[in-house]
Amino acid sequence: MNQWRRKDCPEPELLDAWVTGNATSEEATVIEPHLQRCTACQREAEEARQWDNRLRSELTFVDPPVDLTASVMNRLRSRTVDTWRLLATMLVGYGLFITAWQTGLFSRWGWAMPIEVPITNGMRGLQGMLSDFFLLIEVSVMWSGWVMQQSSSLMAALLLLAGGWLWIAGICWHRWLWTKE
Amino acid sequence: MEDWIERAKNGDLDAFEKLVSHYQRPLYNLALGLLNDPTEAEEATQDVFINVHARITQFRGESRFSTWLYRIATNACLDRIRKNKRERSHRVITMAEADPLSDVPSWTDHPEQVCEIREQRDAIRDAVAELPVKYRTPLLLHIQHDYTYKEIAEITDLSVQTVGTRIHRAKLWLRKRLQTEWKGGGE
Repeated sequence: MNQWRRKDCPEPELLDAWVTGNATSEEATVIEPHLQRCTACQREAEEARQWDNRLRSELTFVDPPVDLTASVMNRLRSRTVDTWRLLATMLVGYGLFITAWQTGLFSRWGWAMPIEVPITNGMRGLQGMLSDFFLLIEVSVMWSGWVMQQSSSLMAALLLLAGGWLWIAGICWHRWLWTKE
Repeated sequence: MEDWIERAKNGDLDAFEKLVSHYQRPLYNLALGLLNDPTEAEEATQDVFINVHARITQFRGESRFSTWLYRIATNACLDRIRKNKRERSHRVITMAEADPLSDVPSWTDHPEQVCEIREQRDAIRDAVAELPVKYRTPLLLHIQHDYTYKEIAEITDLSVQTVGTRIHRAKLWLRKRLQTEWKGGGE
């Protein structure tokens, strides 16, 4: 393929780039004067142009399935509904958990009601409780987003369960921080 | 277009539907060219749009929207190829199989001529499908989707020089392969 090339001939791939308008201006200033005096490169450039045109005319687009847009939008709409349903379920779940905690359901394991903590530890306890509240909301929202990204419902359920346990572990850890002194 | 993108970023599903409708044809064809299977190409295209919807707020407008979209689509298709290991055992599809009505001849066309044109078109598609995916991807983006080397480099995360080399090698290989076939076929 390269038998026709002389020492000063540009590399064939550079010639190909020039033919398709992809050579830089510096490359073009080398190629164009060369092409004026080199018939072999002129022929090669012409062949490259013809082959490029041939491929472009043959590799045309085919029509996608007629219901492609509708299928995408149906999936997206059902997914949005699922997201809200899941978020609502999580909120209800967390609400029930807080209610159970506040009413002393967990006191048999020695868990004090969080409301006692600010009272015993003053401002530090109150700040801790507020920062925990926002942290937990943020983590919950991020976790829900991650859960929704999963295509497998088993994986989503496992992540949801793991998120719940992390949430509880986080509360225990902060409770220990508040009360360790 | 910018308006649709901004509205889609704000959660407007109607605006996103317009984007899907606008880009479905090129993205489906890219997926078809890379995956060589109409059913899988359709699934991949749907997944790409779902993924784009989830990540659209991350699009900051530093590149063209279409470049960003193609980057996601190309990566998704390459992931599928890796996952399915279909590169070696892919089934080459003909133009007629991908879209049966795409090249319906006119009444005045000579049947033999129509057959020959169709055969040559299918031969080119078959040959492109045989290319290793690292050559096929930049070639399709360049020839079928009309992207410049620079844009392809952005989409595929390759250097402009590598893109140029791969496209050139792919074209040379195709030319050699098809010339041999057509000469062998009595052309």
